[in-house]
Amino acid sequence: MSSTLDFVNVIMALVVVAGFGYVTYAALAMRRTLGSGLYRRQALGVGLVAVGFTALYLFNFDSDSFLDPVVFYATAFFLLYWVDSSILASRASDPVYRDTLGWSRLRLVYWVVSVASVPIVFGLLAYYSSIGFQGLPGYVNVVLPILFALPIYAAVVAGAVVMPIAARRSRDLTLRRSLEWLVLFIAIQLVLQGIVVPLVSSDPSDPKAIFVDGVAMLLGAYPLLQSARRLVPIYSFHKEYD
Amino acid sequence: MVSSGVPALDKLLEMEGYPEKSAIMVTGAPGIGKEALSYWFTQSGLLQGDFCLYVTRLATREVLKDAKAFGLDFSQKVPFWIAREGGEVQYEHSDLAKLSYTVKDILRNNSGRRVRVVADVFSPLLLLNPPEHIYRFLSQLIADIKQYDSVFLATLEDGMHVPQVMAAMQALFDGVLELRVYEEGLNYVPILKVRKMLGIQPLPGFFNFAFTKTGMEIGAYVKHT
Repeated sequence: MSSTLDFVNVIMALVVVAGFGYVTYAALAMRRTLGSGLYRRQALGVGLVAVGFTALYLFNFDSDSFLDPVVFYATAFFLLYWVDSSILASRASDPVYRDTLGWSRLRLVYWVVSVASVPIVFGLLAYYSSIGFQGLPGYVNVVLPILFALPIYAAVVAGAVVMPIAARRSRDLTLRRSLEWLVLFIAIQLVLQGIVVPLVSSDPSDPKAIFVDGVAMLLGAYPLLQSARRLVPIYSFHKEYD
Repeated sequence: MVSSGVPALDKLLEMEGYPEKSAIMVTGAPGIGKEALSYWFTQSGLLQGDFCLYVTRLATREVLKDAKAFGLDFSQKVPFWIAREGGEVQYEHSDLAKLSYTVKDILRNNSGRRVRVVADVFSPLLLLNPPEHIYRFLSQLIADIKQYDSVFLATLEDGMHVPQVMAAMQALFDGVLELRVYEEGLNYVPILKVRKMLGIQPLPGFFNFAFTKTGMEIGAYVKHT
């Protein structure tokens, strides 16, 4: 049973890599067509989110890899990058150009705090590992996980609070559709990877957990592709060229 | 003729630029690079000694930063700004009469020289006001501008207005340039179309465009089969 599931997981991983590779290509191809730096960053953000989530999924196959924290941080920062650029792009298409919740200044705090948390986490880990984790103070046990997850919390809070307001203020329907598709992608990942996977298994590299991750990725591929394709209205040559 | 500031576009238009005393509209999706055409148009005017008026809902520093990303530098010669912040006159989206009066006043005060007017505000204005008001305002503004030796360049966002409004606005202008993204197989192609231009035959073709460090490159689109 397990070997069958392993085989299914490998096939699924190949499909996910191919699908998300295409999503990344579509986002970067769309980026090339854009002239404004603001929107180019948003297209890049979609491509980076695709790369990050694919890497996270693939690293579940070997949950003890020393690269796991690197992949986690990269994905968190990719997500924050996309949320940040989407809020700025939404503002550009707001007819009265409102600065939602002071994001133009708040974003600097977000980035500084998120980036600063990384060396603090690794510094604490390096220090306590050098002393063999003996007598780890209680507050470190509380603070460390929070600090570790800070970049992802920052992205999720900004994405859940600031972005919906900014998107509602934007009058660019194409941009709104793109955001809606990407939010759907993230919702699928949160529900399946964040809720269902822990119910299936406590070990992220368990084949059953990886199977659910794979299903989440397969279900998320289409919304993410739509998000990349809907950054600008796309016209068809078939209707006009011949 | 009045140079667009983009040599490839001047060549494409067969008459080295936009017609004199004309109103040109550039339409395209947000982010596609419409503003770049207005930056080059303005820079070209400043270098030739024309009086350049730039109307924007952004702060001047935001426009300058954006222009810099396209390789333009307005630090030596700057246009006259009607802007949200940092301009000679503050832009207020709710006061069309003031905007109209200011533009007319500027034209009158510079009647002895060529004037280039760039307006990057009509999409927000259309979203904040009934389209009929903006139609009347714009038609009056164009009529006023054409009384002087001036060229008017306006941008309009694609995908934010209903087709009827877009068509009505385009009808007011002497020239309409469209910047769009087309799908070609698995690829996406940025395309420029000259919907109409006063004084030249309609250009039915599609033209590729790309922004480079030196400006904008435009070439005839060849369909890949």
